Amino acid sequence: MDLYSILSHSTRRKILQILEREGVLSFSAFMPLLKLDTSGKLNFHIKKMGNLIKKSGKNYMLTEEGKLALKIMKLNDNILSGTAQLDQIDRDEISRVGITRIGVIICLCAEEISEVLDIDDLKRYIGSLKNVVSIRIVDRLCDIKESKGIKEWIDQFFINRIVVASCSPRTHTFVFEDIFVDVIDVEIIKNIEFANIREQCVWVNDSKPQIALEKAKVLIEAAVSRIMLQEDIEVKEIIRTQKSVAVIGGGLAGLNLALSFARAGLEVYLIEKSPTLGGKIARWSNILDIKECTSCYLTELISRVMKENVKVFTNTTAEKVSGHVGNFEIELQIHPRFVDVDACTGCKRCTDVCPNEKENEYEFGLTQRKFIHIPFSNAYPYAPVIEEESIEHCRDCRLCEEECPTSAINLEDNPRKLRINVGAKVLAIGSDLFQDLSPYHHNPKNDIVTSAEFERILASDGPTGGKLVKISDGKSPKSISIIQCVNNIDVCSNYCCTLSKKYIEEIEKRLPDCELHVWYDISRIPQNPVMWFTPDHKIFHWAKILKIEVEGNKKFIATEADRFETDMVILNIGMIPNKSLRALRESALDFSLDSKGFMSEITLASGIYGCGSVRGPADYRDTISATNDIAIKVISLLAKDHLIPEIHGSIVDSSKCGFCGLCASSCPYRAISIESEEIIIDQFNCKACGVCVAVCPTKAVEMKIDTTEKMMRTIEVYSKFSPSPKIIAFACESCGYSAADDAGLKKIQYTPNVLIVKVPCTGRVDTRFITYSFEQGFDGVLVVGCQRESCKYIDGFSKAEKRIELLKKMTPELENKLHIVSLSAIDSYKFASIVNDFYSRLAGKESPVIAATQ
Amino acid sequence: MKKLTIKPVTRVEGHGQIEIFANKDEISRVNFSMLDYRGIEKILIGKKFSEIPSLVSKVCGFCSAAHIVASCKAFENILDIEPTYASTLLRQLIMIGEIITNHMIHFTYMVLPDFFNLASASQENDVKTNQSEIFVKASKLIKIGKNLVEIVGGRAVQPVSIIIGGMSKSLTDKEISLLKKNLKSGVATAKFFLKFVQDVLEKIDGTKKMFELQSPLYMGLQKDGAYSFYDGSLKITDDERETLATFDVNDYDEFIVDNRINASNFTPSRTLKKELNLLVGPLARYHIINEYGIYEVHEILKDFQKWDKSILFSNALRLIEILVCLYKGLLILDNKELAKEQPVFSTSSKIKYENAFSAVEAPRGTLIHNYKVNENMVVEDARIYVPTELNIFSIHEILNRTCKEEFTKNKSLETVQETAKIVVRSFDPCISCSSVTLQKAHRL
Amino acid sequence: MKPKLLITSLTSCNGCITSIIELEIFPEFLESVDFIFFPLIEDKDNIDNCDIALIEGCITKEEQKEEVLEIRKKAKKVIALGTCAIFGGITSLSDEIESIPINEIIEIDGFIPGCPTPTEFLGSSLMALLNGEKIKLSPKNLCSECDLRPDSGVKSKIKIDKLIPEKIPFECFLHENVLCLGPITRAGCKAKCLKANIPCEGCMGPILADFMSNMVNFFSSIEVSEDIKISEEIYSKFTHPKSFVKTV
Repeated sequence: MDLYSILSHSTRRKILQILEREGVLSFSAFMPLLKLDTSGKLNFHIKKMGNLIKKSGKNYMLTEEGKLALKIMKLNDNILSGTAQLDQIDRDEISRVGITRIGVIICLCAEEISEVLDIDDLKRYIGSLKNVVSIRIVDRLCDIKESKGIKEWIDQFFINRIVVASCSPRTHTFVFEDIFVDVIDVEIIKNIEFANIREQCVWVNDSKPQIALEKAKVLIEAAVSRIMLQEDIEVKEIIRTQKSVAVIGGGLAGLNLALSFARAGLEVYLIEKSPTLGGKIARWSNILDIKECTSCYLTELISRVMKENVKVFTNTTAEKVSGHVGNFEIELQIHPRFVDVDACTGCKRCTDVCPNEKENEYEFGLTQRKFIHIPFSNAYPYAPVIEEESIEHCRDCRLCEEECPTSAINLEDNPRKLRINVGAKVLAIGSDLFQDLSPYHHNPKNDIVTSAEFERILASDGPTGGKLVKISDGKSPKSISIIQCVNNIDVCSNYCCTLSKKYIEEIEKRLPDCELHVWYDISRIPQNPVMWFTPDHKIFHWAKILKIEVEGNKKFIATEADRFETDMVILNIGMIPNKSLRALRESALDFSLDSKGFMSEITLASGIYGCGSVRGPADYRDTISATNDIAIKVISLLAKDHLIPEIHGSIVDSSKCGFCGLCASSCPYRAISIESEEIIIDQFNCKACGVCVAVCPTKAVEMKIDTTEKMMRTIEVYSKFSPSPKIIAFACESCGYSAADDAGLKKIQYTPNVLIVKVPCTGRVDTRFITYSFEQGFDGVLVVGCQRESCKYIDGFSKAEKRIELLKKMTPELENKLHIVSLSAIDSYKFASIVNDFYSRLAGKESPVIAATQ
Repeated sequence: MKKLTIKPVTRVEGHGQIEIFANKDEISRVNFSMLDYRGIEKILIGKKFSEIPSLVSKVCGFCSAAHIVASCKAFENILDIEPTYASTLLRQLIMIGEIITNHMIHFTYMVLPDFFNLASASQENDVKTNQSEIFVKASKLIKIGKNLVEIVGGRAVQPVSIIIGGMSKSLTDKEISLLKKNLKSGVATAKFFLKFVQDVLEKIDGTKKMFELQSPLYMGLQKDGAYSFYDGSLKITDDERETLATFDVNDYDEFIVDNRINASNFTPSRTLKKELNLLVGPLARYHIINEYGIYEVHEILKDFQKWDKSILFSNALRLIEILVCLYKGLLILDNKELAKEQPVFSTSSKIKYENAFSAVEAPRGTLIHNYKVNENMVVEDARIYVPTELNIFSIHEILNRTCKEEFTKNKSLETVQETAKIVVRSFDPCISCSSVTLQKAHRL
Repeated sequence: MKPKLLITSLTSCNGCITSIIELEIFPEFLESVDFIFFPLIEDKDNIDNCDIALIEGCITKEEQKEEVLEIRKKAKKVIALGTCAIFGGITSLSDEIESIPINEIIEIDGFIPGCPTPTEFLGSSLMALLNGEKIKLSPKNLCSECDLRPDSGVKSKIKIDKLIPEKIPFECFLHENVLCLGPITRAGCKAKCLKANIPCEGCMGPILADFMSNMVNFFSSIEVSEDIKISEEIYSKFTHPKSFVKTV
């Protein structure tokens, strides 16, 4: 039996009081004191006392539990009668006893509100509401001077919940939170409710003070009933942020990011799969936009990165990731390099003695290299490496090992694992280059080269020593043809136009006599290509279909109209999604891919960011601007010491949940997952739109603040509003509600017969809200949300639209009584006219004229 | 003129009423009519064909499997597809389970009290004292049938695993051996009841003549002259076992005129050209087949032969069918094809015929489904011919005759009432089924 | 004193009563109660005072209304037996006849949903009634009893184009494009259909009282192909959401 049932009977309360006074008492001594006529009754009550009293010998006495019950009982009485003294009361105790004491603050807004409303009448009405213990009228609540008085008022009346009747919570919540933060609770939001009696009442209905007053009453009463229903929220997962970042990929984007992070004071782990930093751009002859030699640029960039103490892991992959944003654990796999980078001096003796050669992949196989090799001349770290696939062979030879003066070579090197903890992860692994080149007869040895290979030909450390010559015979080409858009159909490479511009300049500078043609194959050009050229320029050619034909070592460009010979062909190839992206996604990182297979933007919420061409084709300029963007996001995220999960978010009641998974499949942020016998809502990914609550068939999912119960109660209270026909509007916080506020700010007068319910998103509008509104006597229901394409919660508005469409289909009599509209936050006139039109249709009258009083 | 109404007719499946119109010294007319109309046929119109089996399962809580199988078969005819052999075996198992439960419930809870009454009226005996033993034994057989439907069909009443084109569920080895054990254990119980009913019939031998049908036409499904409830062709014989017609169910319209257009003007089919009191059900099945396919059963039947025109014999034949089904079930469970079977789902949706019939033997008699679909696989018309509907003229014929005879003999309207109920119950009319289509049309 | 029971059926298929007779405990049940009216197996034909009345089927005509009103007068507890009695059932699909659940005419003391009522649930509910307890309805949806689970929500769009599966399901039917009403249907039947590879048709009736809103929430969160939408009743095979329409 619970305490309240025990104490519900006055005899049992008396027993406690008597025992407190008398200490111990025998059964027979009780009878006269309690004025009971039969011993049976006393027996009954004593049995019902449970563990509050105990018997020792013939006597009864209070137990510890009994004493506590007595204390709670007294406290309860004192609080209810208002006679309790501050020092007697522990606020925690009040909340434990479960007493809600509501204080209502009515702000006059410097006469703006009191001019229209009869404040005395309003005060009388609100004062009669259950659990409202005091009403405080303030002149201007936003005046910081008010805060001291409010603090005293709260103390005086033991107020633990507050209703603020004033202006819109949209604009003023933060201001008021500052006022109340010291006096109520840190989780202020759950203890304060707002009644928007300014923007959505007096400012839009100032010529109808009677209706405005009635409206203000229901608005405040609804807020009071909502605050009554607020339950304790447990904020469990506060995450202490790791001041560190993992940057995966050591190319242009990765290096720049690492530098920004390190300079902002974050610990940076730069993880590169290959043995050296630099990425794709290291092969480029120079950087297009800044006309700087790549190796100079990279050398400087890397040295700056090293100066900032970035922890660099080359030959390393990320294997497993666990944890949340703010604190991830990543397991790194460091693959063996077989050379101790610290001991190596870079003397290259080992590569000199190495007897084995293979194609140099860095030079696209255009040259040969040794088994032990330094990948390229500006490689970092500048130390040789042996691939794992060659190691068996090298262990049979060991010439390098013998030759090394510093014993830096260790052919028995093993892979190692390492765990790091980071607050955020950035994926900057870049993209791959288009490879399906056989239709173009790609063959560098026959001078049909890709743009990447051409970069090597231009580069001073490349296979031709920086001379623009044909690979086939080492002579200068007399004519060069550049083929644009060598890529997957419909994906614009985004940079082959600018690249060919660079080539034209470069070729004209080095070989002024060389004939030059740039070819566009119309059949391959995507819908909206980035074009910089002028069509009338004589070197540009359009062809419906373009073919490269090879006869022996002769090369021809063939179009439907023409065919002519050329010395050298440059295939300007595009970028395709990095092939390790899918594997990474499946094994270690949680992110989604877009329709083309690049990393999608949506993943920003989960603490993993994509940067550079991993997100789609990008040139230098795009990449640098993306790194800045991402750097700011990550740095500001990790600047906080703690990450607190969404307080408005959703929770699951497992006693009702049947694991249908509808919440998970409807969550726009993929914050909900099903794991064996549990629904997990990631409180960091949850953005509190409430869509999951609306779709949950058993109502097992519930929001922490905007609960279904509160919404239903609001509808009930609103239904007391007497004008007819009356309309209830469910307006999303970011657009619909804001448009209504904006109408208030502009003092646009529209029909007073509408009451607005604030919802986080129209996707939160459970069909039940609508059916219940009609059941409760509303004549019309309006749902007001964002523009479909720019819904704050991705597709919340579309979800609401679908619901309403289906509800109308199944209940044709609602056709004219139910509407969903989309607005932007400044569509105040539109809001007013929508409401007016709806009103007039329901009333069968002409629409009232909209007029702004100011 | 005096009118006596028995309403509800108790111990009958569904809501029926008997009206007796009596003059001072004779009974002028006795009517049996159904009180419900549920219009399920109309509900089917406009539905996607894949929904139909589950919808028709709601026609009747007793013989739902027969309806499901009939509708699946009709749509398989429309699509011109054949379910796998093992699928047909599984379906037959479900139907066997349904026949066992239906017959046993009917016998135990609806017929048995009549038997006790008839027996005690004819002579003093002690059958009544055995009642609770009989209930326990009966519930054992009911359970065997129910488990069979539940395990093969997914659930006990209105099974779900029968789908157009196949079966959504197959049997595991463990289930097969459990079912075998169950069915085996039922044989002795079935024989016990047969012996029991034989004893009772002996005791009421005197009433034999009264419950005999007057030259009915028996109709039923048979396969090569043998007992079959799943497939085969329809056969009509007269009461001398003379075959009048054997035809495929898709020719049903050729042989039987749609009797519901105008019930009072129910004419014999063009082919048969004869006054027609059609009878379907256990007694008709007995008459149209040459064999049940189980030797032992024919031995037992010899003892009943003198009853073979009496409608009361139906009650014994139900027990015979229980025994036959137990044996048939065991044979199917032994079939090696069954154990190999995986669930079969059909993906076909190409229509071969727009209109098709199908027939099965439901526990209460021949059940015929007929559907017409359009090119979108949507049902345009549905006809469900249920056994009780086919029997309605025979019921009236014998009901009127026996009641009149009874009244002439005893001049007591009370005994007439009892006789009327006994007659109606012997047909085991299924009024839930009838409520699919019958409205006022059949209140003769 | 044995409890006095009345079992009757209105417009129905008798499937729920069949389920009672087929219960393994039925012979014992017969012994432990007195039937004052049970026309299917008993000869008594008068509605008399009783402790518990179980009513199967829905009301489709005037005289049935009178019958249930009479039963309400005579019975201490009236229990709606099966989905027809409590939600209207299959007959509510009819355009010709109106099917009225009994709770629209009389107050009821409980209901045992299902079409037909599932064996185990029926048995335990009858036992509860005989012991004077309430019928325990699950607060969860059918998915809680189903072995098939969605593959951790990877698929975010549910697209339905089939009413009957074309293969043995590996995961949740909805994720295999087959319509299953499990999410909006009350648990209690042990998901027997699903275990036989057949999706839920919703025969246990709605999990929440306002079926209309639950149905709209559900069907608007999935995509249903036009092909199967032609049968509007895929939305509400056993429960017609009429009650809401009346209040508007």
